[in-house]
Amino acid sequence: MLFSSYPFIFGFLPIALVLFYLAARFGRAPATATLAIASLGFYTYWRPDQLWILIFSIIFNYLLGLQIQKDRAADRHTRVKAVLWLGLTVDISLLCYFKYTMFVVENVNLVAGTDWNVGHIILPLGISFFTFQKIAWLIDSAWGVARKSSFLEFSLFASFFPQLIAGPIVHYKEVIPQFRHKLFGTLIMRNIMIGLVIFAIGLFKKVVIADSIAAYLNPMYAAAALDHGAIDFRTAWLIAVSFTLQVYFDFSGYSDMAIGLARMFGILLPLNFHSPLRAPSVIDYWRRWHMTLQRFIVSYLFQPLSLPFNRFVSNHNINGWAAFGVGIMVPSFITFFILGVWHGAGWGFVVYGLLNAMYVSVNELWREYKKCKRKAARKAKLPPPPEAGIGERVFYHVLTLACVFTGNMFFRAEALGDGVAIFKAMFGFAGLDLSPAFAVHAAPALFALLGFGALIIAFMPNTQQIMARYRPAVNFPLWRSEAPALLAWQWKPNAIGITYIGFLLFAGIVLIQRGEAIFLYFNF
Amino acid sequence: MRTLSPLRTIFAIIGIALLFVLATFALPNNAYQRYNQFGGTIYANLGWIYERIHFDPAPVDIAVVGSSRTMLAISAPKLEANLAARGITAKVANFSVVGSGRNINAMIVDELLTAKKPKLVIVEVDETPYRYGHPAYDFAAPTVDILTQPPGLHDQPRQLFYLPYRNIKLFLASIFPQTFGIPAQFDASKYRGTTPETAKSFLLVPGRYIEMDKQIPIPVLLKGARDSEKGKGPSRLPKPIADRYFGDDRVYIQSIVDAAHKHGAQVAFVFIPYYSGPTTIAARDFYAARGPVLDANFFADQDTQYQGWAHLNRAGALKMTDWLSTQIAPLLEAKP
Repeated sequence: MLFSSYPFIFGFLPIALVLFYLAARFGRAPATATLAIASLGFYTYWRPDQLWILIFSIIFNYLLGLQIQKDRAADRHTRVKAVLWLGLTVDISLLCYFKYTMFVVENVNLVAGTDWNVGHIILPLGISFFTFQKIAWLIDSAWGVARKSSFLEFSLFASFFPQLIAGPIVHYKEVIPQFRHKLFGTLIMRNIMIGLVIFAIGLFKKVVIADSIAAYLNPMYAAAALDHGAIDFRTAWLIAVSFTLQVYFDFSGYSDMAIGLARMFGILLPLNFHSPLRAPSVIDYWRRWHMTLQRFIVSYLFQPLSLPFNRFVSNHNINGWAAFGVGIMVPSFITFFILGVWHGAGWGFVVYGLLNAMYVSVNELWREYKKCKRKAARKAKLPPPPEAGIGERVFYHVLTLACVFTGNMFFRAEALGDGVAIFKAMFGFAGLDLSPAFAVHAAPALFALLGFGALIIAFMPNTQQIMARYRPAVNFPLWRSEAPALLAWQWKPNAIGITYIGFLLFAGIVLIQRGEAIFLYFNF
Repeated sequence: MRTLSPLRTIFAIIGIALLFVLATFALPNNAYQRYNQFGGTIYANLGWIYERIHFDPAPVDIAVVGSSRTMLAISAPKLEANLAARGITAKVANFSVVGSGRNINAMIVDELLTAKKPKLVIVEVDETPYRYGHPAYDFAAPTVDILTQPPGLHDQPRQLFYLPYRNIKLFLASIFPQTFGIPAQFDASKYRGTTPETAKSFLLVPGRYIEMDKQIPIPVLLKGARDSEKGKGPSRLPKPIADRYFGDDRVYIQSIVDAAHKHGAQVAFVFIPYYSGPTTIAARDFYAARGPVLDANFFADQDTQYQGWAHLNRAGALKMTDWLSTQIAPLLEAKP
């Protein structure tokens, strides 16, 4: 039951809303229970045979989290660590088993010439997301950030259907206080209105733009994968640009829908995208792309990793570029490697992660170089170097996009060889001959779609900027003034606003009939 | 600018979306494209049907509508020849389309009557009426036909949900036919002719060759027949509303009969059983009240006449066509 499907929009969602708000008349606990049961029902509809994994994960992590909190309160730090490690080991092992066993066995067979067979292991839907959420809960419990909550509250936190399958990855402290708030289950029409508007924008992005691009991209990619020789550099760039726009509108559309759905139930989720393709640097791009994953990675991986490396640097009096290499580059490479592999078991994802680590490192180097220049000017009592002019800023944007396009080719590649072939073609390594394949794939409708998407990305406000009057996300105040759009417009419930959303809703719902396309991030 | 309360805003958004939906019902489309969008599919025959009706000046005196059973079992050229041998000049068109569903038969008959004056419409009937509509109907039917169906038909919700998207697509295809890959104009060089033979071996779609000159071992025929019977049966509704179970068949048979009679055409029903299937027609009384029922149930035990459990082979088709000639000749003689 996809968010962009008729059974969900006309069946599950209205029923869940009615039941939830009816239950809310009897108090917060019945409302919480109703929403938790509806969420488990949502998951069961997808994969009834895998419900046990979700339920086990909820019960196991709830009990461990409580134990950690108790031990922490009693200052039993060794036990806190032990229980935390137990929880992390079980959670990560479960994730690794489902996600990487086949990949590891395949590669071992390839290298060692063995013939091991583990059968086909089906990846439980949303496991990467709900496992990360539970890990955050355990670590937050150990850090004293997460406090005791009832099993009912935790069950809803851990299974809340709008964000269960593909995020946004939420923290305990963002969501559970909302379940306890006196307004939980109230302001029915206001919440439904705001949620409906955000949902309609997301639905349009996913169904109308992303799926339309996919209709052209998929055959183009399939032909390229079938015959690497047929990819000329124009086709390669067309594939790269199309895919980046597709994945952006697909995943940011999905995230908007999740945020909108949660809002219909009065819950504010965190932002997942903030116009990343308008970013002037790769570092900024990663701050604004899949933000809840980056937040998780930075908090629970990069920072704990970079701390010992930086300590090592200062303890050994390492300085200059060597310090930069050990203190920044090494943790960046490890982090991005894990980030790449989190997306899936495949060499393409490894290269995707490492390529982005390289981008970020170069970006950090450039920042460091500029900082040094400013410092040197200050020391010499010279005027500071001039701010970047328009030409330089345009160059930064173009360079960032070029990096993103090329990196994403490895993300899209079903086999590493496909990614390499397209990557080579993009930079003319496969020759600059113009293949007739380009003429076959370069449909005017695709260019129109890409142009439409590019205009939205470049000039239009993003969903949260459009909905700025209504605090669309729990962390929106932090992002309110970041990356303002060239064309500023905020939604209001007036004739223009209603017609605009009415049209998006119409277009999104009608185009579902073209065929339901799964959200790309459901694969992770 | 005036703003609305949240409740009114929600209703207004939904209302605007519905207005856009209504607007799609008024979008014009090209009927030629509606019938010709099935190239490369098992329903591609619909394209020829439209061309035969509107672009071929030859009359259609006898039209056959039905599924693949009649498509493969009735040879239009042979039927023409047989009738001619009896002194009856009549142009025969086999307008059967692969797949069951009474609504598409009615749609074709309606289209036929807009341009031709048939004397006889032969409608395939089965041992048990098919409960659902034809899959191609959602794509090919005129908007008004879908909107004005009597309520309660099995596929109606699906058709209504699909209609806005279909109309947008067909509207855009009428402007950009190349982009959608749907031909917008008749191409005489690709026309299949006035009386193409449907009772012969042919390539239905790439990878699916229909071999008519073969026989099938009895166990294979029996297995296919028994497999097909799963889930079929009489009405499961209470007696007073039992007819609703086969509502599609009732509604569209009546529609065909009314339209044909209005244009002075007779309607006859033809039954071709599947191998080892029932030799009685469950809804015989309903059909018999509306026209003669031509019952070819004698085929049911003739394994040598079948190339699949439901379809006659070439020999069977020729035999069937000969038999049909003798059955319809008196109808045509009675009403020149």
